[in-house]
Amino acid sequence: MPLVYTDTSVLFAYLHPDDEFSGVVDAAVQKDSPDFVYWVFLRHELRHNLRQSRTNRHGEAAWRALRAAEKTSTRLRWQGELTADKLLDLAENLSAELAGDFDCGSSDYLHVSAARRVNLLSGLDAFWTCDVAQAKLARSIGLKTRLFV
Amino acid sequence: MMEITSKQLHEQTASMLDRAKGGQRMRIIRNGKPAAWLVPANEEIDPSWDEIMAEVRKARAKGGPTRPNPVLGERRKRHYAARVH
Repeated sequence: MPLVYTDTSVLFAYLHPDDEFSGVVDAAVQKDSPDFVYWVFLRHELRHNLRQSRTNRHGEAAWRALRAAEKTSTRLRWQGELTADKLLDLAENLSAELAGDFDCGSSDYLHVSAARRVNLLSGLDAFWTCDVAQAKLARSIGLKTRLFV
Repeated sequence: MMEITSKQLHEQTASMLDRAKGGQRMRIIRNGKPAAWLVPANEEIDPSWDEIMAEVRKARAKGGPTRPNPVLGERRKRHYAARVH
């Protein structure tokens, strides 16, 4: 299975059937059957947004799918090495280097730094995002990036 | 979880099966890429995305209105630095 770092925008779209990117992301997953990197910040951002969507149409189905995926050791591949303090330092370094060049928010630097770290440690097949500015940042540091539009 | 090559599995099959029986999960690497898992017989194998997503895909197939991605929305709201200039 290819190992893919998905920005939270992609994982949310995959899990929530009403999301604007849901169809294109699902088609990509059905084609490539990847496993996804999962770590503490991505988990928080994803759970937070899914919790807030639980009351809308199909929100409960999305939440149940997430909980089922979290029980696996492969579909969402937990990265214990990606700790919050370490990644905040790496994101800070990346921001110091590139903040003037890319119009991204702080969490974008955090995700791209995490993907770069996984790529260095164990190899990453791709970085997927629905965020245009984040995709530019990821490409600039050499990550093989797929942008969903 | 440990990783072993397909060559190691071929040459040390009995030893690897003993490890699996003892609770060790192993990912088999062939030509540098993950190819398969060797897991203890009493463990459940992870469901596929197709199994996990069955309910979501059924809901998607019904169609209906889509919603803006809330993760991107949250970032746009917070990314005020570009707007204050």
